Amino acid sequence: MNHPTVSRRGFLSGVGALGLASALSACATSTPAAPAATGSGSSKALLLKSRETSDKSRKAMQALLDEFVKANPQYKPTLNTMEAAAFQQQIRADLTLSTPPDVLTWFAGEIASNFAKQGLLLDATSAFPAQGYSDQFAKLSADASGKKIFIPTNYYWWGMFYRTSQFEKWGVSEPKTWDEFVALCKTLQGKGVSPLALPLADAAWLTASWFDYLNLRINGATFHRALLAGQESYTDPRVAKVLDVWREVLPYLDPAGKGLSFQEGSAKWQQGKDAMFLCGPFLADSMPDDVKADISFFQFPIVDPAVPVAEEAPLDGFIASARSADPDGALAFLKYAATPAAQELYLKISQNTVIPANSQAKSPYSTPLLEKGRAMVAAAADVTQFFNRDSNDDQLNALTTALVKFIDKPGDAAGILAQWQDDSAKARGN
Amino acid sequence: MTALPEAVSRGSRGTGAPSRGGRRGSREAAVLLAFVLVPFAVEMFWTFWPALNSVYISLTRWDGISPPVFVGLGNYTRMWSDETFRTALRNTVVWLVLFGGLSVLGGLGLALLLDRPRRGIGIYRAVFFLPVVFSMVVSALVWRMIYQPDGVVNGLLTAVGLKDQARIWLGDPDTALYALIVPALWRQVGYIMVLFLAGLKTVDPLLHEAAKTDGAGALARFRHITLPQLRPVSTVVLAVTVIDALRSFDIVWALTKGGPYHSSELLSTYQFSTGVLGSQLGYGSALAVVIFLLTVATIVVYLVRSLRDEEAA
Repeated sequence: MNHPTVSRRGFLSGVGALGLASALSACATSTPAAPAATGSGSSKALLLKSRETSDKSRKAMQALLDEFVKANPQYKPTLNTMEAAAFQQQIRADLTLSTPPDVLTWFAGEIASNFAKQGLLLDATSAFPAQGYSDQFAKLSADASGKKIFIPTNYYWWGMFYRTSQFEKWGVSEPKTWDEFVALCKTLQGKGVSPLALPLADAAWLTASWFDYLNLRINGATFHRALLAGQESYTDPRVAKVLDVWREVLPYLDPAGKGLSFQEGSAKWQQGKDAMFLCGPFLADSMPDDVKADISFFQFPIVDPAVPVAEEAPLDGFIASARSADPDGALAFLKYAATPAAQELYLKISQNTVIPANSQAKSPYSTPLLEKGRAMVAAAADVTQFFNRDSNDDQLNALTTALVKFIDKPGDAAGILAQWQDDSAKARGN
Repeated sequence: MTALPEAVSRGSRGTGAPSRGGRRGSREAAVLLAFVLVPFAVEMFWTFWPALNSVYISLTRWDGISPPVFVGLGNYTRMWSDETFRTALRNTVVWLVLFGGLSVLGGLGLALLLDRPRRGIGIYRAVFFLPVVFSMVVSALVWRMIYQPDGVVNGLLTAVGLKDQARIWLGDPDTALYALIVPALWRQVGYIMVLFLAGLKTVDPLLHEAAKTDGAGALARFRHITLPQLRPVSTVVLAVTVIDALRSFDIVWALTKGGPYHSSELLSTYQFSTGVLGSQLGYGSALAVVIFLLTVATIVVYLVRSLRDEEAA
């Protein structure tokens, strides 16, 4: 192209080509074939697509790329950041493009396994370090055949969050078992404090955390996974048991929660009007430092001591596209992202309240809270992700419908479970 | 339609020789044709073709990744047994009747009140039109505060001694849908008012004068003069209202997302959560097709009726 200015004819033919291309690609359901050969020519461009939109996270992601280039100067990586919801909608299209982004941020769980089943993900086994990741994390990074498809970089945890100063004021302490927990709720309510925060106005998905944990504590992780995968039914008496146990603490939920947004609910908890909040450490993300220092959590109480303890620890990390034009480059980056140095660098700049996934990496801003979370996950016999990460958003929809209704009509459990099973099966296409 | 030849002939005026003018005329006709055909082609590519595609997708089961499976009318028969679909359909009808009906009545009433010139009339009109200017999502933030458990509505109820009537308006399945219609109306009434105000300007004041002289009361004049004269604008208002009612989405999504447990679900929000947020592209497309058919059917029925009335008149 020697012409610096675009002629009208050139412009029009360009528009025409665009129209033609759109017409061709408008056969919306057709999936373009993978390129026959992966070009190993002069181009060593590497595209990283990220859904970490906060300013600090973006800088941290860029720092990772800069550091990667220092060791691998033959690559010219670019960072493309997209808002998380849009990213999530586009990833299916991204992975089926003939020239996809090479590396993408993603999370462990069912959706990644599905991508792998469709042959969309690059085999990252060679980039996965032999040392550093726990067995649970290694298992979560593999597809059904055992090959690694995901490189975990950091994770967080779920727990019952409370404010230390408030617990001292009320003269109560952390419960260990479900019975102690119910007794604590009763004590708090007797003191005129609303025991449990559960804001539902814009965060009905929080109900999934209660279901996940009760199911894990009562029926164990194996049943939980089978249930989410559709191999077990929600009409199973074991699921009814979960609702029965949950019913014991429904009277202790803040009744205003139904009308509160997540932000309003967390503010209420911060002010000590609600005592406990089953949540992740992101709960405190936007709170002032003195509040952050005052926050603690306890492990979700043990219901049945015979059931091996599982914890929810959603893992974030990277996947690479199977159609990457430069799989070697993608693997080189994944290999770097798995190192303790890379994970420490990322957390140092992003300052997110998450824990590096490689156990050899140290938290750059270690706090007692963070170390407590790390110790809890490390001691767990099994690790799950979160309801929608272990299944998908359609299944989460069916769950929130059922559980919000259950909170409203706790006597209607049988009907609700039947409806849930129906919704779940339909969403699965059965 | 008379404007077109005139524009063409004006364009060829002053070109001298008639033969040249003829050639020039055909050239301009070609340009005019291009003005019609090019946007039409663009519209075909970017609107109709994707729309047709979604009709095809609605006949498949597709998650967006794996190849779609053709299931015929399976998605449509699934709707029959889908409790949520039936709730959404019922809510959409309720929405159409209440939101549509009340906004037309309210808009007409306001237009009649604010039609006559008097001091500060512009301010009153502006006040009622103001909600139209705000983004619906911003309005939703305000209404969320109004409906909060400790919000304005419950505060007022408590203040006048009706504390037992206070409730969580958006979190209660019995009230959520109606609590959403109020802010939607609050906005739509101002818009309909402006349409009717414009319509009222076309009513010939002489007719009113004559009727008054003949001794017709205000009500009779409204029925026999104002209403018939408003017929053209009423057609527009109806089409706008039906379309706005069936595509209502923003306020619902911003305040309840169709919850609690689908009690305020509309077809539009259900379509969005299954087809766009979820991964059931086939079923989501089928829902979109149903919304489309409903909109077209309602409007066609009305247009046919009003055309017949006009012929009869």
